[in-house]
Amino acid sequence: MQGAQNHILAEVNLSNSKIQFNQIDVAENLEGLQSYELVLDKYKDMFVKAISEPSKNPIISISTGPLTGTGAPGSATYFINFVSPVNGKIISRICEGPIGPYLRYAGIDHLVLYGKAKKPVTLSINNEGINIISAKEIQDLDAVETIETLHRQLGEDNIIASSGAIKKAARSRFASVVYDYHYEVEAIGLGRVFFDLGIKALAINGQGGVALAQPEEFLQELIDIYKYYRSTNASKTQNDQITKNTYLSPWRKNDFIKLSGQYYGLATDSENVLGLKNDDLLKINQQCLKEGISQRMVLEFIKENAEEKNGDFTFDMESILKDMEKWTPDNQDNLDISTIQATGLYWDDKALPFIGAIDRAAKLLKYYSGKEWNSFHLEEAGRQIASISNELYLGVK
Amino acid sequence: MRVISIDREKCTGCGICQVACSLTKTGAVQPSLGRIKVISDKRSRLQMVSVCQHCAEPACQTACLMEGISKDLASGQIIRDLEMCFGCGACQVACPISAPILDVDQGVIVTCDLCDGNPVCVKVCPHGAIAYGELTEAITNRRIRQGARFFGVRQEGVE
Repeated sequence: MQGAQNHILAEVNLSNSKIQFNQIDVAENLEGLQSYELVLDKYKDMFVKAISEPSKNPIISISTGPLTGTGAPGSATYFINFVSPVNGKIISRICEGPIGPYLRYAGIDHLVLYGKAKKPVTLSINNEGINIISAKEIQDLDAVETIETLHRQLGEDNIIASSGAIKKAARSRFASVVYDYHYEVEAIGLGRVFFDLGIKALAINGQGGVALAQPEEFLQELIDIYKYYRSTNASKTQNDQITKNTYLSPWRKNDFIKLSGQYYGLATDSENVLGLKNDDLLKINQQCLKEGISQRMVLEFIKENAEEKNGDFTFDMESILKDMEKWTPDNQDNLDISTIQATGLYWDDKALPFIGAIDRAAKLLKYYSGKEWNSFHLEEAGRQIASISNELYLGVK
Repeated sequence: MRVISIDREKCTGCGICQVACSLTKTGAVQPSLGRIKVISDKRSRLQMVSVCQHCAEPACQTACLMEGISKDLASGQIIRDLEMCFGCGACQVACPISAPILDVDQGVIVTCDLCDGNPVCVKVCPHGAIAYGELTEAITNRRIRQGARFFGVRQEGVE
């Protein structure tokens, strides 16, 4: 394998089941650093159309960065563009989890989904290609039941990303996409866009890999980074580490909370406005994951609407969902994507708090691509990306 | 005898060892070819890693149709003669923790070879959960406990 191969863009038109694979020249987009913008630009007309009527013209693009899935800390980073069913604006989100890496292992760097399937479908994605299969038998299952069923049918190796029951939760503007039983894609209303597309689930079975131009040097850099990390954490137990929000895993961040001897990835009420106990958070977490509703948005809603805060907490998902449909949340801004994050590494001050993170990222990019990258180049690339990004968003708003 | 041991209290199942292993063995990041791998505990759905234990009485050795698997008595290491392997998968079926993997590029079954005594998984583990050292009584007891808990492997005379 050689590094820095051209990226593959897979395009699925759900309306006519047409699937196309195209190559993207990475040299033209800074080794793939502009990936999410490149796709947004290429499908600009469709995104603009989706703004006018999101439910009729749904479109989602999923893009990976050059270092996504390479095993570096936080390299489970990928990007999603879609038009929010909540406010009708284009949302660009940084996401974490195995969906991005496993798409790359399946040989796909960018996935664009648009149109509308006549009946709910599952997209089975593997190294042989993409199959559109009927989701008739699973359409009324909740998100967790869907994951269990598809694991049984398609194999445990599949990464399953599922929305909730088609007749129920998936229709909500706050529907989420759940994967690995414990996690949701942190993008508001993505599950509803799945519903609009007619997609019940994605099943990604990537058995291939990511090519590196200089694998030995890349591995040595990984060893150095993890050695540094270990030296500051070796004496700590898993329970201590989870409070550090390390973004360490290649697949997901490690911000679990331990309850009753098990670990859970809970959305938390960061300002503790509600004063919820972990047991109550767990109730919300489990119910939201089961139904396929964004737990963060449920918390936001409760925070804004709870009449009695810091009191006894009761949680009724059905009535909350009903009330949420009349609600428009305040915070719907896009996240600023930093240059390091554009490489496919979710690093920030909390994630890898050592001096010279940009040097490390540039080195990894160099060993990945075989081309001269240093911190200066990466910072310059960041400026270019920001400039293109501003133009693009002005163009489509 | 020196062995790889995993402290499951420290292991988060992050999978870095699997990536580094594939990188060492194939020159690419290809987790499916990692000889140490992340598996899911069916009951808790939590993830952890599993790797060849170089068993005292290897089931893979007994199962191999070609008698291509042996155990080095001095080091305790399982040795695979890849020239004899035709990828039938009998050793995979026999292994109680499904440690052998199919190297699709070579068409043979492989397992952890301890990286010639310098395992890369130990070097990259960010949590210090993987160790390589002499097989002690404490490690043996931990293996028995964890084998029973996660893989349903029972040892005669041990509850």
